[in-house]
Amino acid sequence: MRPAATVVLSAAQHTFVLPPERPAVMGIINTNPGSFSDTVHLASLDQQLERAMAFVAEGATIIDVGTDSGVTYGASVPLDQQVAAAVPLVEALVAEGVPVSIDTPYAVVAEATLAAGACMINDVSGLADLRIAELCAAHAAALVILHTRVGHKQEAFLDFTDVVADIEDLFEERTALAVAQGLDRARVVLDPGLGYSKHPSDDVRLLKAYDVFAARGLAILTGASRKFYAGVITGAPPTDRLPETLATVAAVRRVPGFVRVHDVGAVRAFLDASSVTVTASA
Amino acid sequence: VEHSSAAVRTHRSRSVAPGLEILGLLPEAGVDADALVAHAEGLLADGATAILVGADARGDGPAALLEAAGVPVRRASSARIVRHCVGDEKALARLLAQVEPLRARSDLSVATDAVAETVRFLAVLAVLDGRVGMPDYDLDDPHLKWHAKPGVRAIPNAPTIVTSPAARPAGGAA
Repeated sequence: MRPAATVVLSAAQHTFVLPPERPAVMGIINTNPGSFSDTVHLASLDQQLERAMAFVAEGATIIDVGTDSGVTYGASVPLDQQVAAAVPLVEALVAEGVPVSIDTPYAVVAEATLAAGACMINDVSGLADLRIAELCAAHAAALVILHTRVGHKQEAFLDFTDVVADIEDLFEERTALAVAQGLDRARVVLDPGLGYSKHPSDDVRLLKAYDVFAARGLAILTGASRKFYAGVITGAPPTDRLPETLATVAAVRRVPGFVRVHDVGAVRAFLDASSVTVTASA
Repeated sequence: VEHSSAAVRTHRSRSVAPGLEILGLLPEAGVDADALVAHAEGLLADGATAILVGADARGDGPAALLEAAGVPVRRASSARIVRHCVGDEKALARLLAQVEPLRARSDLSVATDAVAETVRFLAVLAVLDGRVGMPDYDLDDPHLKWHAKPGVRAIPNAPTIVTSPAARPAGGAA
């Protein structure tokens, strides 16, 4: 298979140039208290903005604002509360010139935050609601299509006959649906959905197949942070998985795209040092 | 001396991935003789095959102490990379970036105080490389999963398949 080429992604007012081996770092900020992978909760807008700007200073290219955690043991935050919490943060980040993605499966949240200046919707439902693609098209925003086969906030370890083929099928089907809603195909970002409805062994299989996914010529987003599959391998608990996160980043960085992480500074240091190593040994 | 991997070590036994050899690196200062052996033994338990001693680590005094206690030691010249990084995430990240391209080199050694973290990094890559198989696992292992935070009521949400020709719930349940 040919090495992946650089992907240029236009997302509203931003353009991301994404070469192989140099993924853009997406820093995670959650506006609700339920997020399972946060080790601290940033309760106020000022705290969230301060953390986000610290991420940018450490090398984050884009901030992913989560409005409703993916925890499988609780109900969703009411939509009006999600909007009320996210919009001021989006506006503040946009005023600072920071690209903002919104982690949501809800069209009403997407609509409000796109209007506030978000340039990307990270739809963790696998485009269960086509209105999100319509909204992205209307705002010339990018849309992340994530592979999952269960609804938002539902835990499942499904038995896939061929997980890579299933991911490919979903990417093909949902990308076509997004384009049918008026979205430019080049604005689609694909996320194979590490940990979403999959056994850890399927996560390993999909990580080995990244070249297949990248052959579509679209940017690939990887939620690389503190993943269960890696904890299964090492025995490390969720709150202590930096080496596991870095190993996941190492496994996916060859394809153009984004790595979505909590530990922005460490991941940036890893990628920068890896770049030096590659250059030195070339 | 407490190691960050203590919980991991007690949770499950791991085999160190084949390839690069990991040597333990003792603190540059601040550990007395009594604690030194315990610290070294902790690094060995984390996956180090020996403790590095010499110019870049500790002097001959610690080496003699460790050898007398039966702790395997190596001299500094035997390691390709020597780096202290415990407690500094960015330093750890830079170390692991250096280690990554050498991971299959069983003829090389890296010495670090972050033995557990380095072993875990290499263990994940060994599985992803296909050099080691995926270990057996328990999907319900509470040690490995996130839990509801205090004040958040746990409500298990039953899975509902959105659509897929290829996926079905584990065990074949509808």
